[in-house]
Amino acid sequence: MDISVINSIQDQYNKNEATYLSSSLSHRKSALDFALLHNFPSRKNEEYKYTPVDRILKKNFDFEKITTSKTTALHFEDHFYKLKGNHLVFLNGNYLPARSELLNDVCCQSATDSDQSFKDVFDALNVAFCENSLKIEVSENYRPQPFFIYYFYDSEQGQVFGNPNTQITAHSNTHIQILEKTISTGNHPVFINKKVSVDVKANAEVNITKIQNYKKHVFQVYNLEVNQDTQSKFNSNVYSFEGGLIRNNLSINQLGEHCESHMHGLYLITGHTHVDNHTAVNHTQPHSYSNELYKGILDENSRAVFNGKIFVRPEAQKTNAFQSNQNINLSDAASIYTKPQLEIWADDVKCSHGCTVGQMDEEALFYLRARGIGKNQAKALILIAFAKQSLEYIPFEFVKEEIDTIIRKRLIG
Amino acid sequence: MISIKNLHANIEGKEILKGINLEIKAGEVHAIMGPNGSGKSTLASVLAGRDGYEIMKGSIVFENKNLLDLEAEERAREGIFLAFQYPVEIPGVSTTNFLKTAINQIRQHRGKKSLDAVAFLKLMKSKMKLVEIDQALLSRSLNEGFSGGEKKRNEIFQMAMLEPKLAILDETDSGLDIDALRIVSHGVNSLKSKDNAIILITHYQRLLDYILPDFVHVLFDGKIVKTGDKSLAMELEKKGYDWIKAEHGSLETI
Repeated sequence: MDISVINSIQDQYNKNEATYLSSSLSHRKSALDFALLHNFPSRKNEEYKYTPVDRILKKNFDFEKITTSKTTALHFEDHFYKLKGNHLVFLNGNYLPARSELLNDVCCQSATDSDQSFKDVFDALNVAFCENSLKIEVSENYRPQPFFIYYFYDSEQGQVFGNPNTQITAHSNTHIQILEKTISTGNHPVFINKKVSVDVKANAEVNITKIQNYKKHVFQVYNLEVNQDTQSKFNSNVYSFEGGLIRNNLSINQLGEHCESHMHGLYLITGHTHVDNHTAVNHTQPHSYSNELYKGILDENSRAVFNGKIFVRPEAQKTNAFQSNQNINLSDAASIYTKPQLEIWADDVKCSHGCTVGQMDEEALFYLRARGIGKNQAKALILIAFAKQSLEYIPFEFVKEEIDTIIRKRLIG
Repeated sequence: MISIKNLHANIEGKEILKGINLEIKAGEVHAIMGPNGSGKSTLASVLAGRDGYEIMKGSIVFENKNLLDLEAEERAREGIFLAFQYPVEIPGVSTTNFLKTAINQIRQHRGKKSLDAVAFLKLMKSKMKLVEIDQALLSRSLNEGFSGGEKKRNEIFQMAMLEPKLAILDETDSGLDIDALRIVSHGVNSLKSKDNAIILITHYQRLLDYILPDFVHVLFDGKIVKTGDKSLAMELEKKGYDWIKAEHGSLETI
């Protein structure tokens, strides 16, 4: 890693070492050592070819200017959805149990991630720097109210390096719904290195919906790792609208038979927003299903990357796996890099994948205009119709409306 | 109602319309016939305001307005309607939703109040009967997976909903079986009034058995070379276009 980055990261660590060591233990030190040995990925890394995090961070973020202030003028409650559920608050990457509102029959506790094996530099940094992570555990046969997780970032007093960590365990026959939202204040850059791990036990169901509508100086790398047991179900919905960098890594491990995974996404981006979705589904047992649909609408100088991997292991016979990434590019300056990747070792499976990149359908546009509909409205009608399919699996009606409003505002003005 | 004078239009530098003159008054039905490639669909596109056509010369005045100054949607709001030869499929947009948007934008333009859901449904129900179109079809994505006949009926249904002053039917009869042709013609005939006008673009006089034109024009090589009444269509049906070509000389050798 870049020597100045090493120094400042080490510096940050030393400043807080007392806290770190008192709250938990030596694994933080080994995480830091791992991180310092490895670089932020550059263009040379195949997985980050179009999203060179090292360059983006170098240009926009200064590890030496990280604030350690823990005060904020933010009124968390003002941002809560007015709905019955568990409202959980993070500030600058740390879970704040005292500021969260919990229904008393669910288990949400502060925790530390004591994982000793680190997948990559982001994983290791997250373990090294997350002071207080969130652990949600729902006991068997229980169906709790939804979880609203608010990730607040306050960069009024300096740059923020946030490392939120959430671990979710859904025990057998439970059903968990999660909505994640990020709210930021302040004008200094924010680098979010977020990790969420989900354990879906037999016959359980977990649904995570994320709205990513950040400010231009917010840069995010998000690792979502999911393990699924027999007959479990997992849904991921991700909607990205703005941000300096949005990188989502979604990795699903289907470890039992008859698993079901749905991945839906939409990126509607403009300006210089950069959105990169990397997904991987690992089918290891027979009779499982995965379905993936990501839609993109790109304008101005925006850039999108999609990479979807599906692995069907030799034992995973009778797997059904479908994947589709569809894009509309509205500008000459916008670009999309899309790559579907199927690796199949089993011989009795049904798999399909496809990517499309197209432009606004001029013929359709003329048809609507010839009926008296104004040009912008006609464009919006066509694009909203295109985007709508990605909203189907959102379990909350009000989130659908919220996203619909963002889309309309963006497209109609 | 509309007056086209010496209209010349190019597409990608190639001259397609080479001086069209046409006067249409309210209450009239004009049929435009002509061999393939004579410029019939180009004329329809130019009238509706499709992009990609260069107007080199001439003028189109519609209800005292210079039509060529208006965008496609403005022309529609002024009362021009084009029934497409190939209606476009638009996934995810239902006919109902799209028509409601269209009607209300047109109404807004004319200084009228928007239709509420109830009034809109009532209007729709009354017009659906006219072309024997089914509610279920209208709730589906616009034209997606419709049969050829359903698409054309949907065009006439839209015409009924929007009540244009000038309707241009671009080969609405093509691809229709006899029953569908009867239904579509019945729809058009019921919409005909002394206040509106219709341009029928067609290859065959068959349509003219159902919708009686006041004038029949023959378009050939970008110009109207002959005008008559329905008997001209009969003559064309019998003799083909060769005698016209011989009279006016084909510029293109095919």
